[in-house]
Amino acid sequence: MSSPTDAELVLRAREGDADAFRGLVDRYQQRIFWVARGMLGNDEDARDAAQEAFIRVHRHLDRFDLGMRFYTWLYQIVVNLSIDQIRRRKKRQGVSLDVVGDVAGSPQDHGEGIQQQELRTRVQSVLDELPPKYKAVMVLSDLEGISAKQIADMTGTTHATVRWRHHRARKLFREAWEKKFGKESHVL
Amino acid sequence: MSSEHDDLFWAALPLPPDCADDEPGFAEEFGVTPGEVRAWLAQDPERQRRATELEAEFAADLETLVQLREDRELPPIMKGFTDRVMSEVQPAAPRGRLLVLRRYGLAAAAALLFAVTVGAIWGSSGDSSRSLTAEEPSAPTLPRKSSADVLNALPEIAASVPTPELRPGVSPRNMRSLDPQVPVGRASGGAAPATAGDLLLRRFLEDLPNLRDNLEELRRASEPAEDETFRF
Repeated sequence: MSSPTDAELVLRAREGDADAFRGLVDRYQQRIFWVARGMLGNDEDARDAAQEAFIRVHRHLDRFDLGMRFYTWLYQIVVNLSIDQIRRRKKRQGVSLDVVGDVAGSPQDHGEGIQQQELRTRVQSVLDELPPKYKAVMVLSDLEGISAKQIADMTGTTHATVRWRHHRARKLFREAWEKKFGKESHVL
Repeated sequence: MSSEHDDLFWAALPLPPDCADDEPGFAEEFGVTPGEVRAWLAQDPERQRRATELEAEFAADLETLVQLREDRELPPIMKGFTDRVMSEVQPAAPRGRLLVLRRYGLAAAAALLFAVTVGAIWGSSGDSSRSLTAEEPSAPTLPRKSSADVLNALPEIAASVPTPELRPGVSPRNMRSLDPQVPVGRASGGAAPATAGDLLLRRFLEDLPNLRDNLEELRRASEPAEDETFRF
């Protein structure tokens, strides 16, 4: 028996079927977590943003346009929540993004090799130096593998703008990487 | 041409392969159009070579990032995530309904209490020591749907209360027409018989503490817990 589509689960969840909503959470929690993780740089904030995204989805299920892809909507919410949080963080704490990068890079037992972990840490610390609009595009495109068209839907911009931002983001990323780890450290 | 001019064009590289020469938005972001970039590249083979290198480097970046994407797994902090979310969203509706029920239920109960009090005061035939409780016989006949319903029904309820046994010619609706010559209360010196107004006043004063207690109890019961008020 094939698993229900997102739209079917949404319809059932609207009618109060808790299992249907649980199905959506199970289906998308990993992807949503990693988008938030890429944006926010640490596990705890990412989990909270992912949780808030699902709560908002539940609250506004009746407003969801079934003609739209569910995950586009969900990604849009989590990206916006993450950008809001980054702005609040900068405003409230004035914390150096280097510090955020260090927090993100604290050793965690994710079952990864040391090198892989180190690479992830470095990528995150450089991502954290990008302005949010570039960071969002890079996380969604390069880390999540989402097409420019879908990112345009999620970020409320045009397809063309996403591509320019993507290229700009990569350029900024490369510059930040070389500044931080040197030109020789060509992990990327 | 200045190196600043060249930097401007390098900044726009590599061009997305499906990028039109006059792609809208590009110039606003980079300061040059894709057509201008291509024309600038075509002027110099060295630029073309470097542009090809840049494309290869970006492709390598992408491969690394894709590998990172595939290798990852959820960290321990995400254990029980689904249950966490469900615990946040599931109580929302019942809790909201409970709150509404409490609020409107309180209003209905207060109106009911008021109606019962009126009935008790006007119904002077019974024992003066009876208390104001839901055991009043008139209670089940009152509508309970909402406070507005109850309040609208009050005149009807009042009209249905049995007329107290008064002296001939006296009704509760024209108390002021009681014979002013009949002494009441202390002024009577205890000698004259109690009038209907006298009985009403005495009943009201006797029931006042009960009324206050009941209202206070209702008020306490109606106060929602702080965290329930602003739930989803």
